[in-house]
Amino acid sequence: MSFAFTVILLNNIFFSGVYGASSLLIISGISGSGTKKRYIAGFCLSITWIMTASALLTYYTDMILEIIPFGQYLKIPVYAAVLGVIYILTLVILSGIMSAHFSEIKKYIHTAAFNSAVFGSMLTAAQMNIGDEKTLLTYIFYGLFSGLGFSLAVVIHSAVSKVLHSENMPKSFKGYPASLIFLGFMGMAFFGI
Amino acid sequence: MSKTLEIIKKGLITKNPLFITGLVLSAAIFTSDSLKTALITAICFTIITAVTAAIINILPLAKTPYTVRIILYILIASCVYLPSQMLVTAIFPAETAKIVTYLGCICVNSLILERFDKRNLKKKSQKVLFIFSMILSFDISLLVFAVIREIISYGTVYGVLVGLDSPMPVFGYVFGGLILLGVFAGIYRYILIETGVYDH
Repeated sequence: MSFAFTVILLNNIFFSGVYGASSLLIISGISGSGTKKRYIAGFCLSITWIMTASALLTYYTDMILEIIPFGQYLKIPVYAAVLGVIYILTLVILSGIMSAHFSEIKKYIHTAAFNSAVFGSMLTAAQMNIGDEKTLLTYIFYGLFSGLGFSLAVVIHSAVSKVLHSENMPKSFKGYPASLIFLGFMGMAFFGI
Repeated sequence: MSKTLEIIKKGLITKNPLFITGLVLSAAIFTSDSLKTALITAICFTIITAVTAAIINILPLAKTPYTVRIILYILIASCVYLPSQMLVTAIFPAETAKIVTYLGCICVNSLILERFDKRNLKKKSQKVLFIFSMILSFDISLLVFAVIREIISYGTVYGVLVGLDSPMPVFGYVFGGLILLGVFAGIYRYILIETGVYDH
């Protein structure tokens, strides 16, 4: 429970590490068009699944990289390959179970898969411990809670996205600059926790 | 205006990656609290993105599906990452160790993932020119932003005290960086609007 609290709130992947900032702004409405709620929900589910699955595979790749010579140098290319595998796997699964909506869903899968939030969570997973040792469950829960933490940031931002893009906002600050300032103040609130 | 000049202007000014389009934000915000770390990010970003762009330009990927292409882009970028990380580690060992996770994340930056597939630029040379002007634009913006942020936060530039009486360390934090970047983005857009070059 305390691990969940730490990863989702205290060490929120976005508010404490600013991972995935560009994707968050793209998804939760940098265009100001008022992104559909269904789209946001789909993105949050996708990124949580991808972070959890990538954490699972990261555990095994970390074990292999530890025993092979120069393994540490291969970390980034191997993680990139792992992410590619998860991306294709996700597309295959979704095309099977949601074939009717697949073309609509496909649009946000690549944004959910390839961003610094997912890559950052893979790179930082090894630093998180429950107790004294790193276990498969630590990795899986870290991935899951990181995904939920990032989803929380997306939901918070998308909730006020319309206001940040409204005509009442000065033209120079409308949209992107206002979003950054808002997220900065939210980050300050999370820092206070 | 010729097409070439228009592309350079777009990449350098009107589509500024840091202040207008918001690309490569995580590394930019986390590492811009000091000029030294921002310089490391700029070096790595330039090498990774430029070399990846050059390799992609050579490869015959026009008929490859996007799903496969995007994975190839990241694999190429992650291979280019290795020498760039070794280079900055050799020059700035202590600072690189602090931000190494963010340097790894440059491999999945939106400039590599999105802008290489810009459909409105038909010729490969135009795409490369656009990417290179965006890289230059990002580097300049990041370094200028880092200088100002370091002065405001700690009263130093490149670690050297510049005699600011009351620095505000709060802007050295991630949330401070977000707020300050938001203010800078607003000012930048205001200048573009006033000079009539703002391209919505």
